[in-house]
Amino acid sequence: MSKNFLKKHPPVLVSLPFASGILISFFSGHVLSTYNILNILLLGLMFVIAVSVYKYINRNKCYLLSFIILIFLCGFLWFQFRHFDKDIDNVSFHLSDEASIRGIISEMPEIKNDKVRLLIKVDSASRKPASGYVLATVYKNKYGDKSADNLRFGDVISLNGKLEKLPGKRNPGEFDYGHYLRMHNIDAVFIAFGFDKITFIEKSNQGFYYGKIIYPFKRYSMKVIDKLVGGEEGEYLKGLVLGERSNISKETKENFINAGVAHIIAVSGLNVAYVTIMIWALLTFIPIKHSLKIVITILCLIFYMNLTGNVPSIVRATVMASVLLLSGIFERKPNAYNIVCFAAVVILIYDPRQLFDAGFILSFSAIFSLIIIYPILSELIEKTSFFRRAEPSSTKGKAIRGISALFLGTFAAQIGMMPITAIMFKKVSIVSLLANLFAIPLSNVALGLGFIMILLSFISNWLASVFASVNQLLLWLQLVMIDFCASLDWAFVETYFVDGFLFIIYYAVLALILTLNNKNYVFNLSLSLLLIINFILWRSVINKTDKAEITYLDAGNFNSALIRMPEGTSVLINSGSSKSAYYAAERNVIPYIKSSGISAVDLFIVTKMDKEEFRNVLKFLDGFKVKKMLIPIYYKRLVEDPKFSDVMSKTNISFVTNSEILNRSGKFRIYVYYDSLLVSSSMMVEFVYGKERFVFDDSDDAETEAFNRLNLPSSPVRVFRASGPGSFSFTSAEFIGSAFPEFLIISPFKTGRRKLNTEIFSESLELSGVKVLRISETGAVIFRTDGRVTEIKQWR
Amino acid sequence: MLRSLNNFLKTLLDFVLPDLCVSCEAPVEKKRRFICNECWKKLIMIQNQPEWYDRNLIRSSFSLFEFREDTEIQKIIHAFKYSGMKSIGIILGEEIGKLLKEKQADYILPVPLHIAKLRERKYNQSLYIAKGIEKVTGWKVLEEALKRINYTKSQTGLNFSERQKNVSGAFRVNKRYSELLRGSSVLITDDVITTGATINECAKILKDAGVREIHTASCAFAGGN
Ligand SMILES: [Zn+2]
Repeated sequence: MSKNFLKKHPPVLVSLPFASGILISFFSGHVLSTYNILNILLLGLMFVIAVSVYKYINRNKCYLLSFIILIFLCGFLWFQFRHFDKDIDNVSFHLSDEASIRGIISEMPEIKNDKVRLLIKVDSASRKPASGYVLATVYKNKYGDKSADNLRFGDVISLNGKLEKLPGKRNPGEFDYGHYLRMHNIDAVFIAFGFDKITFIEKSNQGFYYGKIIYPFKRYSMKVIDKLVGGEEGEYLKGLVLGERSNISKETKENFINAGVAHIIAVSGLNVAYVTIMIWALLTFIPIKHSLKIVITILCLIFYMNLTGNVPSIVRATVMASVLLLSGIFERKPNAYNIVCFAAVVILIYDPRQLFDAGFILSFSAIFSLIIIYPILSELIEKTSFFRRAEPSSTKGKAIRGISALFLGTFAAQIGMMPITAIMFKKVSIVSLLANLFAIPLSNVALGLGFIMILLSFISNWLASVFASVNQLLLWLQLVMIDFCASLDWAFVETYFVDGFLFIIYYAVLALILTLNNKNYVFNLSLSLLLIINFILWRSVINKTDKAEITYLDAGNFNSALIRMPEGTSVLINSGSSKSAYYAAERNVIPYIKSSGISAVDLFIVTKMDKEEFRNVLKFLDGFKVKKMLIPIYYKRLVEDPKFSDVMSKTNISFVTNSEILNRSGKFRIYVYYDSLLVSSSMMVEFVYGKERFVFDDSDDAETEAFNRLNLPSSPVRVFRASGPGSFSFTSAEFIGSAFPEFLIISPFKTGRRKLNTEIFSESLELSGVKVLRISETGAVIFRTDGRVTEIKQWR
Repeated sequence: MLRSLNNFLKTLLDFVLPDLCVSCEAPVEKKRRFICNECWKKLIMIQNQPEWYDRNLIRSSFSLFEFREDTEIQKIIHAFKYSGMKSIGIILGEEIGKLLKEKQADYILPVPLHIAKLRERKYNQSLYIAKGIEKVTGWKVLEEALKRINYTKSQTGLNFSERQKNVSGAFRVNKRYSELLRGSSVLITDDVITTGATINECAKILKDAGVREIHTASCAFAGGN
């Protein structure tokens, strides 16, 4: 059987071990020698042996096994080499706050109103030769600035600013941006303020194809779309036609995800299929040889692939479409699995890191769902009497079959990808089954009109504008309909509860159900049931613990901590702050709370607020359910301002006027310390579980601190959260001395004068035996305690 | 150098698009190009040729296989007609040719497609059967001797008299060939004979054009069931 399988599916037999090799390589870390040349030689050797073994596979099983192992090793080595091996002059070894880097812009610059983003292939850093890629963000100077519009792909520039290492993951449950960049071959990030920090040096003549054809064409197309369509419709069309999503508003993107149609703006494989059909239709009118038409079509597809930035979904679809077209010339019957797996091999050889790219995972899981599940569903529905009655050749029959194909396709993708989208987007769209029925055909028409418009604009602006106005209406209609679908109450389900274990159970049960037949149904169904019961039992066991968990979230220089009691009570102390468009509540706090499986916070304590923190509190209350909120009486007038009554009326708010114990029953105690005589602007919180004590101080004046110090019982506390970024001007040595904590939590500033204060602060505390945890540098810290012993939980 | 490149490309082709049976997708033995031995054995050769035709028009008819729905032969014909696998026609044509050899014909005329249909399908399947027969027998293929002038709708789902009406007047003989054809013996080729209405119509106008003797050949015959 296996021999036959290889003869039938060679690409499957290569792609699976190759991908497994990459996967294992990723998780085993850097294990090879630091000598690049040695790794290449080893890889070359493996490859040569694998190719020579391939010829003999038909002879016996031994060859087959060794072939699989060799391909596995190739994947392993290839990833080691591409991901871990860095040249000694890599730019990531030149990090500095005052760096000067020089290099070539190696991707089309992303120019926005307030900033430009440049991918730079570095050739020197701080006047020393360097290599690698840097993602540079240069913010516009607020007080008038020179323009950055003239920057082009291929320009050699120099930059002055801050060269930083890739950001680490800050909190559990958050998107790991640093990992994302690393997997996209970026070695460091660079930040500068003011376009005058960019110096143009010369135009390089590297990359003629991209510099002179692809990017100018892309820029031109974007200009045409901006001019003739414009607005949010224009941005949507750019996403549809060019895969350029950077200017689509956050709301629109969110709507697309909620409605389950995000694949449309991600330039999906569906676009390629549609482009192929359009080119093919155009070519039927040209009297040339069939094989020449195929070659032209493939070249057009490659052009489109380059134009849309070579994203995995498009590369996959382009490889698949090309192989399908070529199968006609060579008169070979194409096999779906072979073609998909071949596309995967091509992408992974080009860059093995793509295996971990969201686009790659979504695209391949979608296509596998379609080729595995769709035929089963379609066979089932063909058997229904309703379907049998509708003649396939009649208009009615065609319409029914068309709609059902769209519906079943969406449904098949949905079933096949459910746990993947659940983990990736933290939600699964339900309305997508309906939304795709109109969104796919309409977006295809809009895509077609968009292409025609761009091509026509070369000939006549007037003609192009006619198409544009029709398209604008169509695009508007789609946005409105998608917005409507996304806003329905039942549009999507949040899926923070999905974890790796459920993921495996789901696919195991799915496989059992998909392979149901007359013979095995008893076995398959009972095994499925067993797996599900097993899962439920396991979940209830794992959730049973006698430990409380206290998480100090990394929300920049501000503080936020979540306490979870074993029986389920959740207490949130502060929700961080905001800074222009950035809300810690939305970006750090809510994602973490949701990912912990909490749907409503029992108690939300705000110990202190300034204007920015208040803005952030409003955001939090707007986005998450809070059963009860506690706040110092000092803020009564602000909170009861009618301007905020919308948000505030949803929550039960109590004002603290005195120090008190919040709960008298249960295994834990929460105390608040509040100076009622002073009517202080801040209060202190203490959480006590068994003999373990956690103190959250937020005082910023000497009187309040003195009050807190005098009232706090003087036995040692386990963890002390110091107010402010951590310096003696915020927290006196006296106070820390009397609390005598084992751990001290601070969120220091990363730069500037205040950083120095923090360094003095933490160094002298460490000398006296306090363990200082700087969470704005290390990311969130989680403590677990059973009331007797407290330990730090590793979450990375 | 060039040869090793060629070898490499061929290996790559076999890797990406392994030669698979059009019916069951099992790997194909090198000798036969589109179907595996297992499936080939399942095909039903016609032993006694059915006499569906008008004896006054047609002298003899030969069909290679019995056509049955949802079996190997249907998949083969489908791949041949719609998936661009022209060589199936040539290979089946050769098989037909070997068995036809004793009958004598001067020319082979494939049943033509209308130009619009040809554009849609890219090629005329009957022509490739004709080419296969030509390879073995040496009888000459006249590709353009017959012309389809009416665009007829699909014959699927029609009975004999409906089909007859559908194709009546659909063909004519190309004037350039009328001299050549007069008094000759010809073989008309088609992929599947269902009711024979199409071939009958062709035979009629060929007889009118003065052809002496008409034979027909097809890959499959579907009239039996
Ligand atoms: Zn077969």
